Amino acid sequence: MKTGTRNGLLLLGCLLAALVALGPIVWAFSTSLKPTNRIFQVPPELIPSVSTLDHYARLISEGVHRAFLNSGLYAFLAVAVALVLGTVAGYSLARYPIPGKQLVLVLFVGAMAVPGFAVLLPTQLLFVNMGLYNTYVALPLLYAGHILPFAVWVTRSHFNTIPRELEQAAQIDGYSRFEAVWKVVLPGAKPALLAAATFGFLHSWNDYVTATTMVDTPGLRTLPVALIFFQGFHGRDWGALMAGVIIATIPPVVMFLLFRKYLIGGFADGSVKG
Amino acid sequence: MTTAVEISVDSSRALDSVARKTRIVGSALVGPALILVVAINVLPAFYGFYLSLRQVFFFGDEGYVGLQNYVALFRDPFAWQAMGRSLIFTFGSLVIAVPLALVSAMGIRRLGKWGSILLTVLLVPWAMSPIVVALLWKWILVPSPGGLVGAVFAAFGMPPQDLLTDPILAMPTLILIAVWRNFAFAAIILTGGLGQIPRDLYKAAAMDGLGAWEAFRKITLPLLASSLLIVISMLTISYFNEVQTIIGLTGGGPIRQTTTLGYLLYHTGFVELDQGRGNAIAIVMFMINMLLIALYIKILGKQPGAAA
Amino acid sequence: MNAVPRNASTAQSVRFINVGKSYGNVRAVSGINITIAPGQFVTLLGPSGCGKSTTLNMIAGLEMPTEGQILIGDRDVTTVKPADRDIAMVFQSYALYPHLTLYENIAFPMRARRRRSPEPEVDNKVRTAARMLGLDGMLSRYPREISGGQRQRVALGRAMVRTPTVYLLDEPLSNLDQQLRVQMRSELKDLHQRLGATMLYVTHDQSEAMTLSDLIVVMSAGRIEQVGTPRDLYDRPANLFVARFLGEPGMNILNGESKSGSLVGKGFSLPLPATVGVPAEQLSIGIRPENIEHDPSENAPIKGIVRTVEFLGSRSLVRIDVGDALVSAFLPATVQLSAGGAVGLRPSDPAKVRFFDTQTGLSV
Repeated sequence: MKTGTRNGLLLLGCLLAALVALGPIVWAFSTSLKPTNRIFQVPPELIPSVSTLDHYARLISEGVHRAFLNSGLYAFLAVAVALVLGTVAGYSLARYPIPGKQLVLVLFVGAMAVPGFAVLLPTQLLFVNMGLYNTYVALPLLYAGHILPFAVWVTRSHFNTIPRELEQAAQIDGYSRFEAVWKVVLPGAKPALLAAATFGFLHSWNDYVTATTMVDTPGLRTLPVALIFFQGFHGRDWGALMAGVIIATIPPVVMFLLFRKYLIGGFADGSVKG
Repeated sequence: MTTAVEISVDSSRALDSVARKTRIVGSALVGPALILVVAINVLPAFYGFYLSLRQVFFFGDEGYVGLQNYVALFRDPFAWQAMGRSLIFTFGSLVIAVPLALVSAMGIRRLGKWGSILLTVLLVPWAMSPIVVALLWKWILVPSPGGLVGAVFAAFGMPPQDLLTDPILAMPTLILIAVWRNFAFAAIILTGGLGQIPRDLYKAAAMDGLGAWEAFRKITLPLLASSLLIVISMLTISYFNEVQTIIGLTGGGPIRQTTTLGYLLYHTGFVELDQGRGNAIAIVMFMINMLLIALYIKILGKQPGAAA
Repeated sequence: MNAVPRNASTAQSVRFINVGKSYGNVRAVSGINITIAPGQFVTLLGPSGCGKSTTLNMIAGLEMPTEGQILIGDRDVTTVKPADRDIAMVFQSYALYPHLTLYENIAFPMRARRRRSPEPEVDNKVRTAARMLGLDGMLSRYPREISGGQRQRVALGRAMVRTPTVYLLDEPLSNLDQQLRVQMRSELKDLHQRLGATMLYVTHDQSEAMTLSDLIVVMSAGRIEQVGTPRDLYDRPANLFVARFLGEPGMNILNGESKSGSLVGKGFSLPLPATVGVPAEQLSIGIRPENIEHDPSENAPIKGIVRTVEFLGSRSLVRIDVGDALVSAFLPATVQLSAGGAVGLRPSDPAKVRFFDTQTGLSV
């Protein structure tokens, strides 16, 4: 009886928590499908009796899809660069004798702990002076720099758990060190690589402050920046804005749902086990 | 015999060169990542310090001014107010997020498979862009009976309230949205931490006659201490530096009520383009971050059985 | 049988010439000189941390010596990459590739770019090796799906298909349970005889070393203590370390002083044979537990107090306090002894008593 009540309460709490977490997003989706004249309808309707894709079409006619593609491109480039450099660095930190290794590790961990926002202002001035401000390289480069410490950290932790003997065996079996790593070590590193890739994608795709301070031209804007500009011009067009919220939310949430196991594992490993 | 000695001289030279080669290869592999991280994350910090000692306005460097930017900052009552707002925002969020995360983590552990589904659901807001979260909540909070929160007010017979422009309610609203956005991230780590506590301990405690609350206080909390400290430190740093939701929701208003240090930096440096002063704020924030990190490392280091 | 050729033709000798290895200021091994003939089964034996694995890794090329040379056949391989040494290694953890099937694991060395074999040959060799090792029928499984003993065999199979010049085996049996270990031990011995290969084996288990080896290299603290056949080492240990380390239980050591033709210590007095003479004041005697017999007489040369009696069936393992030393002896089960009682002992064959210089530990 007592445990029955307790489980009932637990279930209720869970439903409530899920409702609070997802309710606003569901509501935004509902809004994005309503014709403009029904958006402020009283009482509000959760499932629209009349629905339309006009708001999504409007975003495209305003060129927001361009920003969507930019966001995707920047995130892809940043993740690619960070994964390649991060895996290589993570491997060598796990396996090679490197002069000053402790210092290098402290640097990577420190860079992970310091939020990028605190150094954004000097970065902006640096980029302006170096001619990188408002270019296609600016954001991928910065995002790659932001993701890299985490990528190095998870891959290094992962390589540390893989027995050295596996690649030694492959080397004795006639493979070069590179071949041994490629054929024997990397296939097992998928969880770490996916954790880093997911984290990197979320970071890049979701960023606003870096994007709004490092590029200026409409053609270079990312989706969040474009949405804020759109809001500036059409502040009360909630239907289109919520359509924007939904398209900005789908990629990271899908990515997160697909790879959550690895990402959660990566964080849990990185933080709890150190 | 002679040949053996000769080869041995050769091979000792070869051995040295192999050892040197390994070190060079290792360094060459770390190099590119290290250079990028230093260039993007470390150098700007030093450049920022350099700039904070100069008068820089609208990208124009007007020369060395010593500590003038800092002095002006410390004499500015608005800066102190922003510091206060930062503390309220940071600790207000922490006080709500940490217990909430702990309760969720315990529920998630208890629910098993369903728990991990719940955790995933709770993490969806965390996977969203903070500025998009701001847009979303602006619509949820829109002061009209047609809005979601407005409808709730209407159900209680109250007129719609504009929470984001109310000088008293704006900050609590921001705090709740910040908690909504990322408390579940803390729940991940706490769930992991709870998973490392052997279940036998609870059986033993039950045999020793401990009640549920006592078991929580005497077993769960002490054994979860290092996870809790990690969570608290990560959240402190994240809340202290939060700026995107503030930009999107209130723009630091109303009447500066939500202007935290982070927002002040954004506004001074990127909107007013007073970059010398902005950098002074950035350096102060940077120092506070470092202080927080050092503090947590120290506390975590003292923790028996700490993982860090 | 042709598909897995006997290694007799490819089996090579191995030579260590003054090999040493330091990590910074710490010397891991030094002064290693070993010569291994083609086709020999040689064991590096010693307690953990004695440098035996380091020595093996240096032949494999996984670690570089800091001095000296290593030859495989006539070739100086001291700085050659592992991939180019033409050796095979079985690791303590087996190091099977977790993402590959057993078939792919065994085929792996033959698919390396630098010595790729044609696929029909690969297939033929993998299947023959699998048949020899009793792995047929499970080649499409993954390492995680098979037992420890089977993993062990896969690791051996992966080594065999290479027809390497030298097999290196690093404690390959230590992860198996006792029964399986004994079984794999004889399989390994059988395999060595069938392949005629040079095998270098590392273990800390002296019974493995004794049963398997043509030659044993006993190491401790980074140095070679003695090299010899199992019988040599057992009967004529060169020093106290080897005497104590080999045998189950090891040789009994009693310290004493030479006094007018006898060696006298606490609880014992034994005549010094003329062949030994009096090389030093302080001497130790060594007697194997099976070379001790019960002496009920008044003037037994060794006298002690029984501590424990372990009944083993035909005989008993008796532990006896003699002075400060604890002496083990295998005595017939018919001898009635009980803990706490006094007992007299004597060497059953004076020729099998060894003498050591207590100061240097060396045999005299």
